[in-house]
Amino acid sequence: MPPPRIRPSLLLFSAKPPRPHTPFFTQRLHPQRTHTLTTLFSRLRLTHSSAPTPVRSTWRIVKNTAKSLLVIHLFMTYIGTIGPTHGISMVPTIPHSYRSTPFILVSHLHRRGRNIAVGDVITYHTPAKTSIIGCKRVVGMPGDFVSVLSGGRENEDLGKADDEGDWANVKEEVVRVPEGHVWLAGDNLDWSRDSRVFGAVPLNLVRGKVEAVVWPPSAWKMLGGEEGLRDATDEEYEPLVTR
Amino acid sequence: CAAVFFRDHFFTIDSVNGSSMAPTLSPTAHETGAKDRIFIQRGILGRSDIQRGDVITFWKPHKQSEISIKRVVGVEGDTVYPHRGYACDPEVVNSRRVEGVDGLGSREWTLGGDGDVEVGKVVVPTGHVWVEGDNWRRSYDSRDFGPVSLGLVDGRARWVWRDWLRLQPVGDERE
Repeated sequence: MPPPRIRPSLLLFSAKPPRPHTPFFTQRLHPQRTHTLTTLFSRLRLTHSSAPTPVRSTWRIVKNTAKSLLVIHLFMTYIGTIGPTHGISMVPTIPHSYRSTPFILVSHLHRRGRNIAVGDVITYHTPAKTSIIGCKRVVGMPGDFVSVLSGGRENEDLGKADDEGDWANVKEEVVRVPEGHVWLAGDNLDWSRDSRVFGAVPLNLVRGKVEAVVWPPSAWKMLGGEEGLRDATDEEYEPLVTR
Repeated sequence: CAAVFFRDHFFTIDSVNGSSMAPTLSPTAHETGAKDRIFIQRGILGRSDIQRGDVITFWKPHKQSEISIKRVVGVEGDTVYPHRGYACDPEVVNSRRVEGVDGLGSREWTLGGDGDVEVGKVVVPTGHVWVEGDNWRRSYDSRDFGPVSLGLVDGRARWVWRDWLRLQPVGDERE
C-alpha cells in the first residue's frame, strides 16, 4: 500500500484543541476565521499569555523551534530547496567560478522522476554512492533511442590537442534506454561523468528537477523554455568555448 | 507534520503484496489473499549497515514509483552466481551493451577487462546490493534487473504482524 499523499493543508493544522480559558477560544466560534495562517501565529502568540516561568518559556521556545524545523524539513523534502553545486559538467547552464558557488532551485515535487521529460535538468543520487547527489540533463526517457558519444575527458587528457588522445576517437552508438530508467548527459559533454560512464539511472533515484539557477546573479535563469528542449534548426552552431 | 516525519525516519507499517517472499512473508497470499503487515524501519538511506540476510524495501529499478520487498543476498564486493536471469544468458552478456553497474565484467581492454566475460557470474558493484525473494520460483528480483543501488533502498523490515504475534522476519535459518 503506498504511503498517503501529503496535502498542503496538513501543514496548517495543529493537533492541539484551543484551550477554553484563553480569549482565543471565543474567536473560534467564527467559522470563517479558523485554520488560516494568521490564526496559527496568533495561537502561538497567545500561548505566551499566561505568566511564563523560566522553565515554561524555555520549553515553549524549544517546542516552537522544533515545530518550525519540522515544517522546514518537510518542506525541503517534499516541495523544494535551494542548494549549492560543484563541478563543470553543466557549464554554461550552471556556471563555474573559483570565487563563488552557484546555487540552484530544486523542486522535490518531481522526486522519483514524476513528470520528468526529456530536456529537464534533474538531481539524482549517483548509483554508486548514494550520498553524492549529481545534477545532469535527461536526454532519454524509458524506451527512447539515445545517440551516445563515447568519451568524456579524463585528467590525463589535459593539454592534449584535438588530434591526439583517446578522447579524440569519438565513437557514436545508439542505445535504447531500458524500462524505468533515464539516460543522463551533462551540458559540458567533454567534462561530464554521466550515463556514458555509469549507464542508465533508475527513475526512482531522481531526487528532483532543477527549476532555476539563482546564484550568482549574473547567471540567473529559469530552466525550461528557451533553456530547455528546442527544435533542431539548420543553422550552424557556434562553439561556446574554443580553447 | 510530526506523523509524516515519524513515518519517514522511524517506522512505517505496510502490507505485503504478492508471494515472492513466501513463506517468510505473506505465506498464504496466493491461497487466501491474507497479507502480512510488517513494521519497516526507515531512515536507512544509503547506510552501509545493510547486511546479508536483511529484508529490505526498495523502489523498483525497472518501474517508476513502485516499491518492492526482498531479502539482501549479496552486498558490494560479493560475487553472486545466479541460476537464471540476465547473467546466465550468453546473448546478453556477450552482446554490445552499456557497461554500467550491472555487475558483469568489462569487455573493454581500457577498463581492465580481458575481452571475455564469464557467463553466470556477477560481482556486486560499489554501493549496490543483490536482492532475491525467498520464493525463488515466483520472484522477480536481482537475477532479472541486476544489483539495486543503495539509493533505492527505502527501509528494513523488522517485525511481522500476523495476528497478535510479533517476530523478526530476518529469520535466517543459517543461524
